[in-house]
Amino acid sequence: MPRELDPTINEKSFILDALNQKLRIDGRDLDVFRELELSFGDDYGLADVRLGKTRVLARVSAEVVKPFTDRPFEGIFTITTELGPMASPAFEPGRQTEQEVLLSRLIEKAIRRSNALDTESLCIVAGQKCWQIRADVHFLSHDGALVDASCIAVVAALQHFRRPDVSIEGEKVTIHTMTERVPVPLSILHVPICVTFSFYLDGEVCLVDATLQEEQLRQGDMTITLNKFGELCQIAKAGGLAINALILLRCAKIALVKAGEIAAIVQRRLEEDAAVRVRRDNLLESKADNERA
Amino acid sequence: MADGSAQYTDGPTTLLASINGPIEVKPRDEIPLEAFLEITIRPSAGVTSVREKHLEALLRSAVSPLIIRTINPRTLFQITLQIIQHEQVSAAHALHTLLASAIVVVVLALVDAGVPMKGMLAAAFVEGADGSAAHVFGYAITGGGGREGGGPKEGLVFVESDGVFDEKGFVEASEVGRKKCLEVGELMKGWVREKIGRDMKYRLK
Amino acid sequence: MSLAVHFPGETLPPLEEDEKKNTTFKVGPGLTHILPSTLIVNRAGELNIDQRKHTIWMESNGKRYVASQNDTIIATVLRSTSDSYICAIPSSNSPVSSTSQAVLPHLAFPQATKKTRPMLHQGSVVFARISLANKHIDPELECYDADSGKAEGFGELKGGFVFGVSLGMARRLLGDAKKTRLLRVKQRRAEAERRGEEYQDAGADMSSGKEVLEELGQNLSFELAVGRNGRVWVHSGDPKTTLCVMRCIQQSEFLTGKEQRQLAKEALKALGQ
Repeated sequence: MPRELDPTINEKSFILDALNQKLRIDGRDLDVFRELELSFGDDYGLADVRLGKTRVLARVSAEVVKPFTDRPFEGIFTITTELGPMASPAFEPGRQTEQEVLLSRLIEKAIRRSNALDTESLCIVAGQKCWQIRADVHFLSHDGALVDASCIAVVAALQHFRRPDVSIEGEKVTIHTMTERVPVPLSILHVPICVTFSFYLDGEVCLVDATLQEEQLRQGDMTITLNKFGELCQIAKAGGLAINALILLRCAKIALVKAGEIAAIVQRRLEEDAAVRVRRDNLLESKADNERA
Repeated sequence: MADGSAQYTDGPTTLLASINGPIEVKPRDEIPLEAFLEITIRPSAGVTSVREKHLEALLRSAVSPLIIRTINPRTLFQITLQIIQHEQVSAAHALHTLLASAIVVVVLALVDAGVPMKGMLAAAFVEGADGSAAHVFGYAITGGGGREGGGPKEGLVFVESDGVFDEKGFVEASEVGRKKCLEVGELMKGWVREKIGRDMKYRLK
Repeated sequence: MSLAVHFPGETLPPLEEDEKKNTTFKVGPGLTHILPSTLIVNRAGELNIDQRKHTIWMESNGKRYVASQNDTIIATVLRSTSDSYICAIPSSNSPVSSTSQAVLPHLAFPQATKKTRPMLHQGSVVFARISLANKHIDPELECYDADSGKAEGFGELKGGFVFGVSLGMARRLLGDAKKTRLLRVKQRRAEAERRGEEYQDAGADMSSGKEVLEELGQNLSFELAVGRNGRVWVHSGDPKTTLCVMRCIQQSEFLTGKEQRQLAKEALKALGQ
């Protein structure tokens, strides 16, 4: 497996010098995200997030399974993340690296453990049948900020997803196809957004949405997950540079603003997509009418 | 950032292929006189299963003869195919519709990456008249020409069939497949021309 | 502008007699030679023939560099052994290097002896020439001019910033496009004469592809080194200038000459020049 090249001495000292003067290589201000592009697939529950050159795809799918015996009233929600060679040739398929473990834990804590998805609403028959919601995260291109991008992708895909409707008559459970009955959206309790900060020059400089090159040179990083109401879900800081409380508070304030902005973009794109779908469905219906006539 | 990539949508199927190479190869996979070809297919939902492995094997038999591997010995060509969306409903021939699109997108990505190739392949999925058989045809869309008689020559180089069919059905399907392949081939050539046009745009005043 | 694009697998028509002129042609990248004289395209692109240098090759853009003898490249030092530096040859923006390892002997510097050799560390950037490249063995590098034995700009690149561009862009920055442009104009003139028409220069194809550099060079002072492996080194006293040069070059990839000048002018204005 080819090893990833480390940044050269020149790149390292130049980037740090520039940061000292509050300059970033791509010309952004220190606390500015790259342009966020979000698009949805034809299917429900497919979200494609681009953050600069980083591209992450999240796909949500559902199937009916038996619930865990210790949690008979709850559905199952899993998130899988795997860094494959598509993100970078240096990633080997099938072997988990430390980076990958950290990444999947972070996403897990940010979305699943923060109860973004109401798992109780996924129960069909207690102890017998429930929905298993699966979110597969695919990293298509890696230029830093994988945590932030995949979190956006997953929450967008969850909100976009529709599961087939279910009706229960006595013991009999009927799962209606998408054409039979209008599929139902998932019950989302809140929308967590991750904002990762990278620290340089002993904490003097902190960046949001670092590129791959910037990530390679950072002394430490910290991810704050919160929703637009300012409810903090997690602060994750796995080692690295020690930072003082004032910086942490400043980061949290920035994170709140960013989370609001990002959640608004996601919301806007969801509405735009819904509008397009309604228009298309109406068109299809009118077509079908004509054929019948 | 990959060395070459292509995204292809055919009806309900969307695939993304990326190519890296020639790059450093793991000592275990090193071949003294040839480049090693690594093909990975990743499903859109769930983990890699037998289905993807089967598709990998079929895809390998279609594209590996296209790649001239002796030019870069002891290196690695890494082909990764991500299924972004694919119609799950008609499960009967799902693998075959996927295979046809996979060949097209991988060939385009290989051309984009500038991997040395013996030719370009266009592929099409054809369903038998009663829906019981599925065929994938691959036609070489470039080649021939030169001294022998000018103009690119086409030729059937890849067939993968499944289901019940007789000789007549196969011949009929292959005729449909040929037409489809040539259509797809023209599209593919158009995309490559577009790409090269973009690369050479600097020449305009 | 119409591009004559050739696709992999196409057999080239035999060269015209006046093109051949009884000389031996060197077959360059993108073509497979089958004895005695058949050429098959193996990479999509545009056919280029240089009669003066007797070379024939496919011109196309890409991102993956394959070592070729006498190319000048920008390499990164990985580590040092008892008698040489082991270097990586990065390609464009790719996170992994092209070949496994390239060898830069300690004595492959101008007037180097065991004691006076330059000390390079892990992560140092060197501008070097590939002295030996063969598909079966790791490439070897040299940091002096083959003719004069002097440094001539080769050696460690100190300070500044290194970034990636496509291989085609790197060649353009090195002035290759200017040469191939003359070739194409000549080719077109010959074709027109064959048809018995007067050749008229339509003005297309007149860009050198590095107008951005010409424009920047007139107004800013900076040092630049371009490697054929798609790496560019820029150095100037001010990080702002360096970044401005970098961004202009990276954004010029798919721009015409006129657009490149426009881009550079706007960037200069923003820089306050």
